[in-house]
Amino acid sequence: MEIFKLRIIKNKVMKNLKIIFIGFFLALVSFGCSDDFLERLPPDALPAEGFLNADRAELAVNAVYATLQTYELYSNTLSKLYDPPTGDAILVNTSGYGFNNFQYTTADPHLMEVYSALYEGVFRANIVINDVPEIEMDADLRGRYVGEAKFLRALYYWHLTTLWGDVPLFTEPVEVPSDALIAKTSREEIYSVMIQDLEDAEAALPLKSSYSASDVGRATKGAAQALLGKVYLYKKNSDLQAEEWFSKVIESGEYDLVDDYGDIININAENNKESIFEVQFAETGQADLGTFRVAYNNPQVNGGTGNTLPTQQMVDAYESNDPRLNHTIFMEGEEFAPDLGDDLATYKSVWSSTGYNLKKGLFPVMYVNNRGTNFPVIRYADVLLMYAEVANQLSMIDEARNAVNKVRKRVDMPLLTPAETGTQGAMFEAIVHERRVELAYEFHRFNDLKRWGLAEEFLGPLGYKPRHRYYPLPQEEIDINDLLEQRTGW
Amino acid sequence: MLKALKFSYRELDYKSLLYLKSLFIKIGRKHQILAVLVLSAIFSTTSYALPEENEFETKVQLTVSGVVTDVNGMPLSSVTVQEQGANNGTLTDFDGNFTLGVSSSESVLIFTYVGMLPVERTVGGNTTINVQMREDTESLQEVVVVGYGTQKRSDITGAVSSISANDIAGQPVANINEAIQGKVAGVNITPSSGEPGAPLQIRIRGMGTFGNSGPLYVVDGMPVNGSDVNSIDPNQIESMEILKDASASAIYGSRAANGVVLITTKVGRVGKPQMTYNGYYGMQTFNNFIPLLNSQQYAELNNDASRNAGMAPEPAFANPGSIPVDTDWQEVSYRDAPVQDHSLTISGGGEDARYSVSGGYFDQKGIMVFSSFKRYSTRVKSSFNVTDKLTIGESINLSRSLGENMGQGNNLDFAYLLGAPPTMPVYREGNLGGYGGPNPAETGRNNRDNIVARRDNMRNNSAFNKALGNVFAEYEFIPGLKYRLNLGLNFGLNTNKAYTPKYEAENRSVLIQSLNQSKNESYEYLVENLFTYEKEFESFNISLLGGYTRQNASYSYMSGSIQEFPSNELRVIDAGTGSYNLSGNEAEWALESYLGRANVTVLDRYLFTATFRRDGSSRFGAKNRFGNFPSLAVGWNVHEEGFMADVNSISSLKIRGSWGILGNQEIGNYVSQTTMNTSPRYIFGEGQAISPAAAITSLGNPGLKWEETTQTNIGVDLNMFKNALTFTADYWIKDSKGVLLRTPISVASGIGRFNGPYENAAGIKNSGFEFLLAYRKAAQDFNYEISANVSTVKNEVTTLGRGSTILNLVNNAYNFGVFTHTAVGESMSSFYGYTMDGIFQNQQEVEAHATQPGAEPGDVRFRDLNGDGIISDEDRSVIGDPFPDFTYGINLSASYKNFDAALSFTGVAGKELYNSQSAYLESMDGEHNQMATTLNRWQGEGTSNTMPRAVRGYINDNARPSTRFVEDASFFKLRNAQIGYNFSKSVANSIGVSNTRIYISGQNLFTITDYSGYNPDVLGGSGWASNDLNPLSMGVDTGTYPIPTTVQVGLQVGF
Repeated sequence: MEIFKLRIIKNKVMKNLKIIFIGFFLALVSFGCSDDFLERLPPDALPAEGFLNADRAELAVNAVYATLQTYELYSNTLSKLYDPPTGDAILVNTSGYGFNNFQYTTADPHLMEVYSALYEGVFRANIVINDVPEIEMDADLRGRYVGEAKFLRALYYWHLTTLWGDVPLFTEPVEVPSDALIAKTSREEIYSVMIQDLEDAEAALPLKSSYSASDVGRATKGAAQALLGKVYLYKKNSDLQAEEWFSKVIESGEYDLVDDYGDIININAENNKESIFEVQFAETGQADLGTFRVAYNNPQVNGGTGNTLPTQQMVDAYESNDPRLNHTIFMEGEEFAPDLGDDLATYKSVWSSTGYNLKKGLFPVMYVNNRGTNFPVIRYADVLLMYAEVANQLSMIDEARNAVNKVRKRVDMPLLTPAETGTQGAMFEAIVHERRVELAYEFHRFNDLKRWGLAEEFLGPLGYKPRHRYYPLPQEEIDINDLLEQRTGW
Repeated sequence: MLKALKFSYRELDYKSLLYLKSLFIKIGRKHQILAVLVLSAIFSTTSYALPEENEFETKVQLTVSGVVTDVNGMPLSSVTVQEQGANNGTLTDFDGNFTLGVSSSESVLIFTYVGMLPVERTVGGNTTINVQMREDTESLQEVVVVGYGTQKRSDITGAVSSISANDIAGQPVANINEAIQGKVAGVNITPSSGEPGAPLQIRIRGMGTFGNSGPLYVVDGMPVNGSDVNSIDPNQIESMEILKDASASAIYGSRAANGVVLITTKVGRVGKPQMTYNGYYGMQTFNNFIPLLNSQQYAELNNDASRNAGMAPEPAFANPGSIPVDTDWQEVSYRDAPVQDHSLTISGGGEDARYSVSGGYFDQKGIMVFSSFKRYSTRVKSSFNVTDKLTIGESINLSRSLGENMGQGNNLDFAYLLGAPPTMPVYREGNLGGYGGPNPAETGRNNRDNIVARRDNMRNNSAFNKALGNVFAEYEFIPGLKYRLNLGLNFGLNTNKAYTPKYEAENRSVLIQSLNQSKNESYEYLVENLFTYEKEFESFNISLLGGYTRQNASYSYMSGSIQEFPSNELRVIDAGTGSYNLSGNEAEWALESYLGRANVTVLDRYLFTATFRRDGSSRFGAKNRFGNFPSLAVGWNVHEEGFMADVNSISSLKIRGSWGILGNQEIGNYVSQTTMNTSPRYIFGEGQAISPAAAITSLGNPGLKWEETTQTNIGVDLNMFKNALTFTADYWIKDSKGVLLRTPISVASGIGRFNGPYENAAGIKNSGFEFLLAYRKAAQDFNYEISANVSTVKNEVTTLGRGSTILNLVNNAYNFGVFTHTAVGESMSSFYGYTMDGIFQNQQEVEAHATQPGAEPGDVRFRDLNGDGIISDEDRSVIGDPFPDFTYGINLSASYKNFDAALSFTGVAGKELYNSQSAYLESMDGEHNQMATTLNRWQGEGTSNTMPRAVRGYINDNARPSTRFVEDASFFKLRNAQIGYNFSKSVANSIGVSNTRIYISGQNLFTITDYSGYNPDVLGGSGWASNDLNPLSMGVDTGTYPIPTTVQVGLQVGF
C-alpha cells in the first residue's frame, strides 16, 4: 500500500515544472561559457612575432651561443668528424665507426647532425644581425650584440666551409622552408662574407679585459682578430693578412700562456688568460648546459662509455719526456680518481680496448658527469703556432721559432735551435709536430693535414682518398633540394 | 516488503552522497553551479519520496500470494505486481514473495520487471500464484551501443562489430584488445610486445594518417586515449562495439577517422544481488629461441672477421676450443612466469535502482627476468530512477597498476641480450653485486652489457593511478524527449622511479649511483548536453539526437634526477649528494563540439541515418579551428518486403550503404604557432651562471586545419535458416586528404629536419573487403558455432604535398639508416634499399661487376639497378611493403552437455617485415654475437651464395638495407584454445553456489611461420622502445619482447 502512495506522490512531483526549468537552465549555463575555450597558448613560450625588443635582444644573442653547446657540436658529435679521421683516436662503443677509417657514407647521420646544428647557429645569428639593428636601444650595446652574432656566424661558416667546402650561404633568416632550397656558394665567396663579418665584429666588440665579470665567455675583439687570422691562414695566399691579425692578438697584451699545461682544459681553470674563445659548459642541474664529452670519454668503470680512445700512434707521436702526453692520455698505473675509492685510484689499461683513455679535459676526475668543463675553440698557444706558421711562410723563420719555443718552454721541452730549424722546411716540420702534440684532441689535426696537403701521406693507410678532402653533403639534403649538388666523387 | 524498501532507499541516499562528492571533484569551477543545480534537483525529488498517508482504498475480496522467480528459479525482488484496471499493487520482497489483495477471482495480475517480459495471470480459484519471468531477449540482445545511445541491431545502417562479454570471458588477457584479436574483420590488433603491461596496437581498416593511427576509445561515454584502456579490467566489459565506417563513427567527427571503439562496462540487472567470481592462474613459457653462436663458434667467427680485415685476432680468442665460459644468454634471461587474475562482481537492482560493483586483481610476471605488472581495479556503476522521468547514474573506474622494468623490453635490451658475448659469465664472485661483465682480455672486444645484471640493477618501477568515469542525469520531458547531462572525468597520475646502484661488472661497472624520478599528471573533463527524441508512428519511427559537448585536457610533467648516494640502500632524492637535473612541462588542449543525428525507419525496412558534427579544436589556427563532419547512410531490410515473404530460408537480409567525412587532429598541441622557445640557455660569467636565451626551434603554420577522411562503405548482412547461418560482407574506401604531415625540411634553414611546419600536405587512400561467415547449430545437448572472417587492406599514398618522397631514418641500437620510403603511388612505409644479388665468389666476379666500393670476394653483390656502372644510393628501390594481402580469423566453439570448448585462430598472409634485428645478428663485424645462421657463411669460393663472409669494419657494408633482410612474415597461429566444464545445478547448489564452471585454456600454443625473428605479428617501428611506433617506418622489426605461450586453469562461480 505504501508503495502505491509513493508512486502517486512522485507523479505529483513530476508535474512540477521546477525540474524542467532547471534542466533548461543547466543547458544554458553550459552553452553560454566563455568564447576563449579554444584559445590555448603554449604555457612555456611566447609568439615569435613581436618578441624582440630592447629587453629581450640579449636572449636572441645568447641563443646563438647556445648552439655551440649542443650535443651535435662541442658537447659530442663534432669531435667524431674531427678526431677519429686523424688515426690518433678511435671510436668504440658508440656510433660513427665510419669515421675511424673513411668508411662513412653520404647518409651518415652524424654528418647530418653537425651540418644541421651549424646551420642552426647561422639561422640564430641571422635573426640577430637582421632584427636587432631595428630595435631602439643603447647603441653601444646594440653594436656589441650584432658584433657577437657576426663573430659567431663567421665561426659557424668556418666549420661549414672547413668540413664541407662549398655550402649554401644564408645571410638573412629563413622564414618559410622553401627559402632554404638554394644552391651552393663557393667557399671563396663565403670567405669574403666571413671576413666582412669578422672585421665588423672586431670593430664592435670590446676587449676581453673590458667585459664585466658576468659577461666572461662572450666573443671579444681578440677572438675576432684570432679567427680573422685563422680564416686568412686557411685562405690561399693571404699570409700577410694572417700575420697582421695574429700579431694584433699577440701584441694586444690580453693573452698569455697558462703556466700549467694541465690547466688548458680544466674545470678549475676556465676562461684563463690563455683562453681566447671557449665554449662554456656548466653543471647547473640542467642537462643541456653540460658537455657529454666527459661522460662519453670516461672509462666505463667510472660510469662513462669510453667512446673516443687514444691510439698507440698518438702515444708514439710524443717526444720522450714530453709532459703533455701525461696530461692528454690516461696510461696504466697513473693516478685516476683516488677520491672515488681504491678501485678507481689508478688507471688500468684493461679499462680500454686500446689500453688508453682520453685525459685532456677529463682531469681531475671527480665523477663521470663532471660535465661543466669548458672546451677551447681558440687558445693563445694555437695563435702562437698559427703565427709561427705564417711567419715561416713569410720567411721570418726566427720569429716563427720564437713563437714555437714559447709553447715548448711552458712544458720544459728542449727549445728549437736555429741549427735544427734553420730552413723553412725544417721549421714547418717542427710546427707540424708541435701542433699535433700541443693541440691534440682539440679538433685541429685533421684540418691541418688537409690544408697542408699532407692528408694523403698521413691518412692514406687509414683509407683517405682525395674525395675525403671535404665531407659529402648529407644525402637527405641532396634528396630534398633539387638545386643542391653533391660533391664530386660522392 | 519494508526490508526491501529500506534497502533501496539507503542505497539511494548513499548514492546521492557519492554523486555529490564525485560531482564536485570532477567538474571544473565553471560547472559547479550546474552541479549544485543537479543536486538540488535530486534532493528536491528524493525528499518527496517519503511514505505518506493512504489516499486510495481498494475493496479487498481475496488475498493472493506467491513467489516470482527467473527461469533459473532464482527469486526476483521488486517485481511490480498489479491488478489490471485497479489501483492496487505491490512489489515482491527480497525473496520474491508477494501478497496482494484483489477485488475478485476474475482479476488479472500483471507482473512487470525491467528487462523481463511482462506476465499476466488470471487469479481464478488460486490463492497461490507462482510466476516465472523470462528475460526480454528481444530487447536485450538486439540492442547495439552506438555513439551517444543505443540502437536496435536491425535498424543499424553502419558497419559495426560487436563483441559481448561472452566472447571475452575466460580468456586470460591483460588488455581487452587482446581478447578480440582475430574475431573482428577489418580490425588488426597486434601485440607490440609480450611484455607485461605493454599496450596493444589496434588499427581499424588500414593506416590513414602519418601520425597516430589508433582509434578513438570511448569508455562508458568518456573518450579516452588508447593507453587508458590498459587500466580497465577485461572482466568488467559488458560489450565492445567497433565502429568502422562513417555512418557509425561520424558522430565522433573530429577524432573518428581511425575508427572508434566503444566500451561499455557491466551494468546491474534487476534481481537479487548476484555475486560472481572469475579467476585464473596460468604459466607463461617461452623457449622459441633464436639460435645463436656458442663461445667456440663465436670466437672462430671473430677470428675469421679479424683475419679478413687484416687485423690481428683478439687475444681472448687465441684458443677458441678452450674458452671456459659458454653462456646462453636467452636461457638465462627468459624464465617461466606465472600470471593470475581474480575478479569479483556484485550486481543487482530493483525497478528503480540498478548497480554493479566489482574489484579485480591482475598479476603478471614477465618471461624476461625482473619484470612484472600488477593491476588493482575497482568499479562502480549504477543508475537510479529518481522519478519516472529523472534518471541519474554513474560509472566510475579506479585502478592502480604497478610495473617493474616496464618499457625496458626494448631495442637496447635485445641488443644486449642477443648480442652479448657467450664468453661472458653471468655471475662473478667478488664483484660488487656478484655479476660478471665484459672485458677485452677475457670476453673479447664485444662490450655488450650483462643483461641480467643490467635488469637486476637498473630497476625501474612505475605506478599508474587512474580514475575514469562519468556521472549523468537524464530527464524525460514528454514521452520520447529526453535531456541528458553527462559529466566525464579522466584523471591519471603516473610515477616512475629508476635507481641504479653502484655495482661491478668489469668494463660495464657502474660506480656512481643515480636516481631518476618523474611524475606525470593528466586531467581531462567532459561536459555533454544531449537531447534525444524518439517516436514511433504508424508506418515509421524516428530517433533524433542533438548535443553540445566540451572536452578539456591538461597535462603536467616533472622529472628530477640526482647522482651519488652514500649507500646503495638510500634511494630517495634527498639522500643524493651529487649533480642533479630537473625538468618539467605542461600542455593542454580543448575541443568544443555540436552534434546531431537523425535515424528514420520506414515500415521497418527502409533505414536512413544522417549525422552531423561540428568540432572546434585548440590545436588549429583561429581561422580553421572548426571542421564539419557530415555523414549519410541508408539501409534496406529486404526480408521485410512482401516479395520475400515466401523465401523461408532467409531470416533477414539487409543491404547498407554509407558515406561520410571524418577528421583527425592528432598533432602537437600548439603546432599552429611559431614561438620563441626559451629552453636554449647558455653560460656566461666567472661564476658560470645560466643566461637565458630564446630561439625559434620549430615553425608553426597558422593556416593548419583538420585532416579529413572521406569514407564510403557498402555492406550486406544476411541471416539464413532461422539465423543459423550469418554472413556479412563490406567493401570500404577511406580517402584521406590534407593529412597532417611534418614534411622533412632542409636543415640549412636552421630548423631541424622534422621541426618544420605541419601541413595538410598528404593524401592516403585505403580500401578493402571484409567478410564474416558464421554457422551455428543448437541441439538439445550439442551446440556449436563456426565462424571465419577475412579482410584485406590496400594502402596507397595519393599525394605528398610538394611531391617529395619521405625517406624515414631508423635509428636504434641495431642499425641506423634509411629502411623505408613513402612515395606517391606506393604503400606507406615501403621498404627501401639495395637488391642483393648473391655473393662475390672470386676476384673476377668483383671486377666483372659494376664498381662496388670496398667489395671483395665473400661480400654481398648488390645489383646496379640504374646501370651506371657504379653501386651508389641511386641503386636503391622499393623492396617490399608491410601491408598483408589479407588477414583472417577462424573461431570454433562447441558445447556438449556440461562441456564446452573453443578454438580461435588468426592468420596473416602476404605480409613482409624488414628484419632489422637479424641485420644486427648477421652483420659478422665482430662487434656482437651472431645468429647460428652465420655458421654457413662464405669461407671460400662456392661455400655460400646467401651468407657473406665475416669481416670487421664496414668495408662493403654487407648489412646495409637490402633485400637480404626482407622476410616473409605471414603466419597462422592458434591464439586461444579452451575447454570448460559446467557443474550441474544440483552439484553447484549443494556447495552453495548457483553455477560453477572450470576451464583450462592456452594462448599462442603454436604459430606457423617462416619468419626468423621472435614474433611475426608486429607492426614494427623505428625507435629504441618496442612501442615507439612510427607509421613511416612500419614493418621495420626492431626487436620485440617475445610473446609467450600461456596455459592456465580458470574458475567462474556465481553465488
